[in-house]
Amino acid sequence: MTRRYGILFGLAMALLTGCQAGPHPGLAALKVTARAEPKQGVPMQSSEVGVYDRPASSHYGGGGGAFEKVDYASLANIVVWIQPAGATPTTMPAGAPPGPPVRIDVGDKPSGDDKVIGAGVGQQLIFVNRTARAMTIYSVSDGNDFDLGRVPPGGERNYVVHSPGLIEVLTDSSDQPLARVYAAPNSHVAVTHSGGEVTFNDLPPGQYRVLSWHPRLPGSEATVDLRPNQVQSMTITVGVNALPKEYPK
Amino acid sequence: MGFSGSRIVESISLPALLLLCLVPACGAAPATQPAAAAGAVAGRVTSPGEIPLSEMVVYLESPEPNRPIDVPAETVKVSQKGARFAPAIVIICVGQSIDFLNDEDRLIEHNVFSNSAAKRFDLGLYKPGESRVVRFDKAGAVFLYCSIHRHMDGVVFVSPTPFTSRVDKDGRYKIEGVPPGIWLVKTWQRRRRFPEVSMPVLVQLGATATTDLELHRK
Repeated sequence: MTRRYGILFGLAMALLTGCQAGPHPGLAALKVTARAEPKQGVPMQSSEVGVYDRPASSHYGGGGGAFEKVDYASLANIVVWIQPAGATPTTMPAGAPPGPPVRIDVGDKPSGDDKVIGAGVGQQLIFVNRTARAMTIYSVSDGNDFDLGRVPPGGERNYVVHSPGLIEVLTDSSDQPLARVYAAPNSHVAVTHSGGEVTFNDLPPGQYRVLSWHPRLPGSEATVDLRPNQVQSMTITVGVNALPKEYPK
Repeated sequence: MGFSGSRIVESISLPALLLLCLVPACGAAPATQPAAAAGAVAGRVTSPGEIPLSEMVVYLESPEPNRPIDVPAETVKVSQKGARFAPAIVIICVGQSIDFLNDEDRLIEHNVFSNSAAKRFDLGLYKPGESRVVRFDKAGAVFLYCSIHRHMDGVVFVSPTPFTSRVDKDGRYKIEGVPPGIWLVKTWQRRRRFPEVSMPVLVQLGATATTDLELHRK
């Protein structure tokens, strides 16, 4: 029993140490909180709908129906990434290798509109056909067009991300994407939700651009100066408030 | 217009294209003409795969960037009712405007916006019975959303010319009232599943030029 507690304590300490670990000496870290902002003047909404909405719910297979509101408090699929300020879009921070391969299970139900996967240029995407039949996997997205041919059930195919931007992974048997991958210029990218935190650790000190992207709401950009041996915090938003206003002020 | 990702289908040889360029009508006619002084372009779009093409538009673009285009004066209406855009897909010409009308029969505000490269805008909050007019000055697809309602989406396809046609379920299209001369026939898919194609065509007075378009994955 004591031994079991000892193991649990050890695990807890390891987790805590991992969470609290700052950058290695001479390097910097950045903690970014993502926030989805509703239109100015509109309160932060939940996805609740009014009673008038009930009849429309069948259009979307349940859920809130046509009048379901955008849930800004927990909006998913916010992509956050950083890149050195002034660098060309495909330049990675010094010493940052491509991230580890990303495995993407392709099932019978297209999931491209539900979930966005983050990746960096140079990173390998591994598509695994989890269906019972062969399927063609391809993309015609700008800068990342590829055709992986027919993939047998259980088979895998690889693609190395070539350019930044949205990659819609397609198949012949559906007009919905199998997956949506947002490619950042480098591996310092993460997908989170409104209120979620992302930590980029062990960065060379210097000035960085911090950027956000969302499939629906406009992203934003900020600049931060990272100093050695420090963890800096900031918030990045997605929302409509920075768009050009075409209405009477 | 330079949609990124578009490709020229090389089904017309270079000599043929040069021959087309020697046709006297090339570039001479103004870009809106009565049907009697015009021709037409028609054909069929085909693609590989197991499912029908998604919503698609075939449109004409002038190979001469400075060719004058008569923009239709009509302002197009797009209503928001039942938390939906109606119509959900709209085709207009560069320079045309859209009147976005909140047509709800209950007190429901909308906040229509777009973050598309061809037009970024925020129409603010507006109540039933109110509308906002937006002019579209750049060709391309403009995806519409409401910042309040999760399922509201629509799209405006802004064509460089008024010569457009929705592709029907069998892949057929027809564009009429086209001034004689050389044009580029181009495709646009609402949900792009194939690279867009572009093909030159010679339109002659009173004739229909048949241009079939084949979409491929690569």
